Amino acid sequence: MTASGPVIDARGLRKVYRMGEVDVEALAGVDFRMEQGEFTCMMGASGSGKSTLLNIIGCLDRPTSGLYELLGRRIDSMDDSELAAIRNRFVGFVFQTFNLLARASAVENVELPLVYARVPGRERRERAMEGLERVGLADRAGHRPNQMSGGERQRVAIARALVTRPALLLADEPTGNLDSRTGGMILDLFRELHEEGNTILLVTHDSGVASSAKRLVRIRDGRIESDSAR
Amino acid sequence: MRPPEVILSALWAMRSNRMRTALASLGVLIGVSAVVSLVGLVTGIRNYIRDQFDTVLGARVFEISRYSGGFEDLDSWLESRRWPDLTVDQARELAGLMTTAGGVTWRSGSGGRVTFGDRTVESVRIRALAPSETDVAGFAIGTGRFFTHAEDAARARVCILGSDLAETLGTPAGLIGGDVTVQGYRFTVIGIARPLGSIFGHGLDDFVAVPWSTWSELLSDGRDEVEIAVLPREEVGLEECREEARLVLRRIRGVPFQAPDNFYITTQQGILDSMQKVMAGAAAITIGIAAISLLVGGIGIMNIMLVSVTERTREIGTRRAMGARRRDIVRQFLAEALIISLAGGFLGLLVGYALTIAAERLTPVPAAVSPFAAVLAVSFSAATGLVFGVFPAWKAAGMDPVEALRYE
Ligand SMILES: Nc1ncnc2c1ncn2[C@@H]1O[C@H](COP(=O)(O)OP(=O)(O)OP(=O)(O)O)[C@@H](O)[C@H]1O
Ligand SMILES: [Mg+2]
Repeated sequence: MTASGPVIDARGLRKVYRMGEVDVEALAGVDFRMEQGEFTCMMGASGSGKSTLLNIIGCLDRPTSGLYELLGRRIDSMDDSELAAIRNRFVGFVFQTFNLLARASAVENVELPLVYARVPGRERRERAMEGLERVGLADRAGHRPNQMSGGERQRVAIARALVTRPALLLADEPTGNLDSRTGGMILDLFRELHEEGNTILLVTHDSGVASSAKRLVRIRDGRIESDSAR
Repeated sequence: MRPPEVILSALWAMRSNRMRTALASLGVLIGVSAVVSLVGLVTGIRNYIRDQFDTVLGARVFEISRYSGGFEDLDSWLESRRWPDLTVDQARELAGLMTTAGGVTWRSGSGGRVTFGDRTVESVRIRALAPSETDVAGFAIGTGRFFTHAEDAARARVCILGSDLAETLGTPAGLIGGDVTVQGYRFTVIGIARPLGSIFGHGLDDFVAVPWSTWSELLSDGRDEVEIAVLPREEVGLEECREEARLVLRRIRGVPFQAPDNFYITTQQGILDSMQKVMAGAAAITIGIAAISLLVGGIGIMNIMLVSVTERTREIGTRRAMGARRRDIVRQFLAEALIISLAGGFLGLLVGYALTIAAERLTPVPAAVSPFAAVLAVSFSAATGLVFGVFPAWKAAGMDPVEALRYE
């Protein structure tokens, strides 16, 4: 993929959920662009549509209507396995609830995206170990998620998101389940990753974090209410 | 995901839920072990029958009599009662007219008492045999010799003892050349037959064989009904010889044109065929049991897999977010179902083999371990895993990733 154009280019995104007779408009026409190397924070009330937007941007979901290009590629015409490949190669997800595989060790969890990228076993293990080192958890490689603290789990999840060297890192309230001190450490890690050149879109409820962000996007009722870049 | 990884990840999921995996495969285990032991039983009995026919009776000899060698319905049985006797004169005529027969002999029999010295055996089968160039007697000589044509013609009082009877009466050395009494008549022992063994526990070596003419004079009580045995000449096919015997005998017995035969011709193959029919019935029952037990086993696996899919909804969502395609998820769950089922099938095979061997050693049932059962077990359990794993796997793959990730 080319390094020139925007990473994210979305125009008029709408997402409508049918709940019986009523339509819920989770996104009501969103225009959003992000360039390579940007670090954007997204805020908004609960139910405003942040996760919905993030999922569409991450190719985990499709908009009801509107145009979306990731790295210059239109995703609406892609089938399920093409979307899976896009998620695998170009997107890294970090979730509020970590979503690590309970039965797998830290390093096995980090390897997971490489398994689907068909990276051979030995190289996979090496890259996963590098990833764990990057988040400072090399000594926890053999631990299972339930043997680690929340902050450690989230760091494993971040290592997992980064292991394919994705073009875009998406984090949906990554500090939502952590205390403020641990959350602060995680946010520091994201800042470092940004400085290393990663493109990051981060949803947060923490106004302190948001105020220090270079770019802040506010969402309300499925629309972008304000965008500090504009 | 590559195939080895699919298998690894399936084993890994199963490892974390050993108890459940074991219970899920139990149905298949029981089903497969039942099928394997039944197949062992059927195979054993079939081998047993085949061996008996190979050793006891010459494969090419066929028999003609008024009695069917197979299974007949009541009507044809009643009909056959009305047929005229098959007499020794007809047998002699047949022997004279046939060109494709290497040997034609006739036999009859009765029962009686045999005495040697101070030993007496009651209700011995007395076999009346016509002498024949070729051995169509239904037994082979162990020591001594067979009777000659001259002895038959002269109604000589000579006899051959079955091996069991000989053993009861004395030693071969003491018996041969000695005299035994059959129904009060004195006979010289000229031979002892080689052991035949038994069919279904019924001993075959408890007989005394005498020339047919001698029997007819002394022991027949005026009956001259015989059974005819024909051995085709070596270069002649069984079917050809059999057809000649049929046509010649129809003429001898004056059967009108287009009327059905009034005698039965029984080939060894015919007897085997009717046995095979019974065994095929047993095999059909086995297949029925197999189908039911594997259905039950399969439903067990499907149930466990559905529970597992629901429990692991989040995992499925996570894998999808990390780049798993639908088909990766299908493969993962299908592999799990397949491995559970194959494990059950493999253990079932071992249990079934153990049961078969135990039955063979500890009971008179002639069970036999059959490699066919292994093929059957593996393919049945694999098929069960696949068939009953498809729906849960399809359900897992069909989940919307976003929904799966939101699942509580
Ligand atoms: N599968 C669904 N079916 C129906 N409505 C849905 C579904 N998913 C989301 N919604 C609705 O869409 C709207 C946006 O949801 P979304 O999860 O994007 O909000 P959010 O901004 O991430 O909120 P939070 O901060 O609580 O995570 C909400 O009103 C929600 O109820
Ligand atoms: Mg949300």
